Amino acid sequence: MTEERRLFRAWLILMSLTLVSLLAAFGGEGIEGGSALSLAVLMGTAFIKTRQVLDHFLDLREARAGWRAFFTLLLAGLLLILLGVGLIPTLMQEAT
Amino acid sequence: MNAKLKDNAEWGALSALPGNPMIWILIISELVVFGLALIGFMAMRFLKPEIFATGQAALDYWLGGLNTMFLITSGWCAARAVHARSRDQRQKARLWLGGAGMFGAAFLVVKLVEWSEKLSQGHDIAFDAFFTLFYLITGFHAAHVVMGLAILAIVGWWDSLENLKTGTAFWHMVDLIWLIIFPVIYLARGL
Amino acid sequence: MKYESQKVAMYYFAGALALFVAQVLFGVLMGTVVVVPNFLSELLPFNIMRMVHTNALIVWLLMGFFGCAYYLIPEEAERELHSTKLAIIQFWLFLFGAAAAVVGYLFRIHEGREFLEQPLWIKLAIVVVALMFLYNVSMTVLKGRKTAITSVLLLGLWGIAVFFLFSLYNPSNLVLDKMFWWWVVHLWVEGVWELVMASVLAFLMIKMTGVDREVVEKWLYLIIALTLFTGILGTGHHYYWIGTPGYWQWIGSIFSALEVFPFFAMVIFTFYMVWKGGRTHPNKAALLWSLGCSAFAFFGAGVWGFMHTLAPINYYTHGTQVTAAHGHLAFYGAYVMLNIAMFTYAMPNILKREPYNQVLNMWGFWITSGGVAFMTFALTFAGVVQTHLQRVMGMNFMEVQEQLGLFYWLRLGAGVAVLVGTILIVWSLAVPGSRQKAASQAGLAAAE
Repeated sequence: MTEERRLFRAWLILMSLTLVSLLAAFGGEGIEGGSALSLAVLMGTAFIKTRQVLDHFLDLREARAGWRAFFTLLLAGLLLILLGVGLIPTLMQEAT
Repeated sequence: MNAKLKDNAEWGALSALPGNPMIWILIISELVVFGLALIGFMAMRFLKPEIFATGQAALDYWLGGLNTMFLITSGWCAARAVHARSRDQRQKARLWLGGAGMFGAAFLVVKLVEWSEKLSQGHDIAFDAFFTLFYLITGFHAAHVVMGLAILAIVGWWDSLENLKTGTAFWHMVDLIWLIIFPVIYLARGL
Repeated sequence: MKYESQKVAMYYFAGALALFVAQVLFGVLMGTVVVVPNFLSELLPFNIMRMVHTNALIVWLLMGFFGCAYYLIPEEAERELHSTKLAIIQFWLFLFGAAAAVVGYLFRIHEGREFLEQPLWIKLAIVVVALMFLYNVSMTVLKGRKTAITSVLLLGLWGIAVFFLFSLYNPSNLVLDKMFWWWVVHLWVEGVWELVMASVLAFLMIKMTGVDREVVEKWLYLIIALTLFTGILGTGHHYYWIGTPGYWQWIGSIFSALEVFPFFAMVIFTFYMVWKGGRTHPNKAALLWSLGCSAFAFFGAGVWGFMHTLAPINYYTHGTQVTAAHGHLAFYGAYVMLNIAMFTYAMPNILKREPYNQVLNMWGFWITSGGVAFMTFALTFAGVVQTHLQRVMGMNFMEVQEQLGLFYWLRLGAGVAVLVGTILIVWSLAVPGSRQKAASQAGLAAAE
């Protein structure tokens, strides 16, 4: 795959995932807007998107494994915390 | 100083990253700052659900989505600029950089439209806990977009490959952060 | 020492050490007043003592910075100082201004604005002193070799002067008054002073560990980038409950929470450099002070600052003894120890003695540091109890103070230890003594 194609594919993935996240937030068939699943999809797509930017636009795919792991942990950690805090109300509702 | 900074061999682990090592210190620091702010946002959303539900409902999905696509496209242009420069196609690189700048400017225009609409409804930064964080986070991010545009212009002028990598690294960081801000503030509503 | 004009630093070191003793002495007097309220109440009321205690601290630290710069800059720039005469005149003018301020305080002449109590004409004299100093060091650097260390040091020193100008602006609106007051106070100690600290530590590391300048410079860039990134907007943690807009709670909490990182980087930097470069340098005491500086600054400024920097916590702890605990450990760790590290390194070189009185100096280190650490713990416990009784239980201020008596006695004891340690430090630096000389020779032999 040429360099140009690789960058274009990253762009395409980013655009499509943005649409997916909009749909997930809106709700539609099989997924309820504002639900726990919707929040999980939002954070999941955000993770893939940030990884695309890091790996392809910022060329992190060429960096050492240690750095790649560091950024994966930083972003996954942040998005998991955001998801966890965001889910507290749902979890509390289910507990009662 | 710049001559010394170019000598990346002595930067230890940081030398392994593309562009100037100091830009990566900045990227990591910015990620931590915005990360803490967004965690604060989620925590307040839990503490004051009604205020946040009303506030988030007032935001426009589509304007946010459009802006996300502007920044993504802008980031792609910036990556193409570096690619062109690495093949010594300087004019092409500048054109791509110009494209990146255009989409960045479009992002700011949409942002201003959005803010002025909110302000005209009386929703200013002191309105409630939601709008305080909304303006702080998006405002702080937009300030980085403005700075990023200036940096793109600077590295377009002094267009060594190293400068281009460094400048666009900052730009991608601004993009990256928006990709987390957007779902948290605009999309994660309801509940 | 390579240049004759570096000797001018001795004036500043001597003046700083004298004021250091005075500062600690007034601290002990104040500690006494807290437990024996009527002590000296007619002669020297508490508020006057406090002015002398805090002003003497700031003046001697600044005097020390001037001395550090006069010693460091010729050596880095590889040329004599622009004007030795100007440096000496500047010293006497500064000392005169400081003495005049203190005498004025004793006669109740002051402007009453905390830490900036100096009458206007003394503030203006300080500006003149700063201009003389900046002209002198900047000319030296411009004409000589430019290094990362001198660039960062000059940035810090110019910053000190620029932000001091805000002390001249005293708006009648109390909120604006406090807002700009912090531009002096915070942007000094959590901004430009840190640049001075980082560059002086970098100089000491190059001199004492023998690690390559290139490596040290990269650490210096990292440290100052983190300092400015966190410290400038970290000012927000002073804007919590003083009438400024609520968003400052977010800005202040987030950025000041990260202020720990530059201090942490300084710890890693100094310990890593010493580990990498080895500890063969004969001036063991100076090395001890340098390492102690970064470690104590990390705890005092970093950890103790973080404890009460988040807005929801500060809502309860604001202005309690927790602040006093933080203030004492941070000033001691960051700036007192930095100055003493440089004095301990430079004075034997200027006086052309081998590193001398090292054992006594190190006793001074441990006694003073132990005293300040114990004082910090006493005040921290006092602060926690005070926060709970006063802010959570709602007891009134004086009732709570009575409950804190034990901690205040412990603090006084710690203060006396600090005074003893201070005298040991000053003695070890000022008095050569033949017996100690022999001891240091033995120490040298052991080091080799």
